[in-house]
Amino acid sequence: MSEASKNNAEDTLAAFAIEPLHDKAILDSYLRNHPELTDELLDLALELELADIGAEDEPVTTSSAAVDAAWALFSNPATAKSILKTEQFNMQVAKALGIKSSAIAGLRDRKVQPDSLPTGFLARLSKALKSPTDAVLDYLSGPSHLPLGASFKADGRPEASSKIPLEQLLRECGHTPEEISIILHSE
Amino acid sequence: MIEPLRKRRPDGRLYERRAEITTLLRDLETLPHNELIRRAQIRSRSDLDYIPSECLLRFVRRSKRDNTDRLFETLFKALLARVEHAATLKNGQHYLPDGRSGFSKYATDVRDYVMDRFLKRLINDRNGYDDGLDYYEVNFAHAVASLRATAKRTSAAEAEKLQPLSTNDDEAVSAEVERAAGSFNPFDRTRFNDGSYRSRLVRAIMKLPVKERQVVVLLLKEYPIESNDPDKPDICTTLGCVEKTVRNRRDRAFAKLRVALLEEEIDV
Repeated sequence: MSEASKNNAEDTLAAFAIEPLHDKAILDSYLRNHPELTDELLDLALELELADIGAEDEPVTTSSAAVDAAWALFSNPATAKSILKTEQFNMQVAKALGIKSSAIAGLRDRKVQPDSLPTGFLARLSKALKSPTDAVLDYLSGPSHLPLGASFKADGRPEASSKIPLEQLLRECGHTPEEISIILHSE
Repeated sequence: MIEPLRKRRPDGRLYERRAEITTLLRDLETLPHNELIRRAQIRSRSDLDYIPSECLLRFVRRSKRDNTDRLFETLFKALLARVEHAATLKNGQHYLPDGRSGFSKYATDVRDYVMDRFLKRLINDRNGYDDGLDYYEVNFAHAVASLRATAKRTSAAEAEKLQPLSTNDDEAVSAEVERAAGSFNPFDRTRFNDGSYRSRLVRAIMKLPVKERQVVVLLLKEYPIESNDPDKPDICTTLGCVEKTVRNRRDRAFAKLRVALLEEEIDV
């Protein structure tokens, strides 16, 4: 599921959740308008039954480790200037660079070692993404798995060695050596 | 001045904060920083000075670009602590022989998913305006519940925590199941209004296999199994299956719920 459709589904479910009532009429209208979310809406209806019952007064207890990790991520200047969004890596960008959709997906998923990008390619990528080169490099330097959860679930950052050079990505995506040479070396 | 929310309903109307939240926000705005810091750290909802999460979120969003001072860090951490608390499955905790406690991987995954998604929204919001956060300013507990429900589905799938083996729906329920389900009605109004019973019932429903769970939720919401009026939705249409299948799922589910609730009563 793309980030955009994930956000849309999340928005619909949150909108249902904050309805003042969750009776049959409200559930009906959401099921009618969002049949693709039937499973999610039914589970949520049940979850909300519990949320309403469980609103007893119990002090907020937390591990604080997870809260500190969230703060570290939020207050890190790198996230503050995270101008690039996953959705920006689209087919138009692939066309502008002359690369296959699977290759742009690889870049989107941060599979490529940022320092393997030739200057010319980086400049063209930056132009196609309409973002400054340092923002592109910041983005690509992030963990290769998109969910922010990686920073909570693992003890350390994911290994940088899991990234591959751009040339290898292009090869694995089925570009011929001639195409790769053009992609890498055109200005 | 409390700025209005920007998210609109499908009919174009803007979402609004609850009146009591807006009133409280106006009061909180007049407080000196150190008093706001003190109140943000109160963890008991029954304390008269407790700040609702909707208000914490609004302060965090408003000062998103000026977030270097201690006030912002306190508000941010207090807010995330609320998210963590709401995302933590109470039955996910277990105790180790040495007295320490821990959480199951499933519970940790659910918590992390909820916190990740919420944090991602906050980061987006700082870089612009994420109107998805407006839902949390209307009803924080319910909006977090929607993330929690998604997190449970996602985490269960990721951990390949398979649903209990489902039975062949077309297969008629055995006489034993029929006997167990019998005349048992989990939504019997005389018991259903009791919060403790309802809580145990909902938790038991959550443990049912997904197909049975869906039938039970729709029955809970008073959907008829089958309706002759095409404008009135029924369970068969909603779930796309025939009446017999729905009845079989219901009977199996009721039999399980009856046993689960009975076992709990014996435990008590």
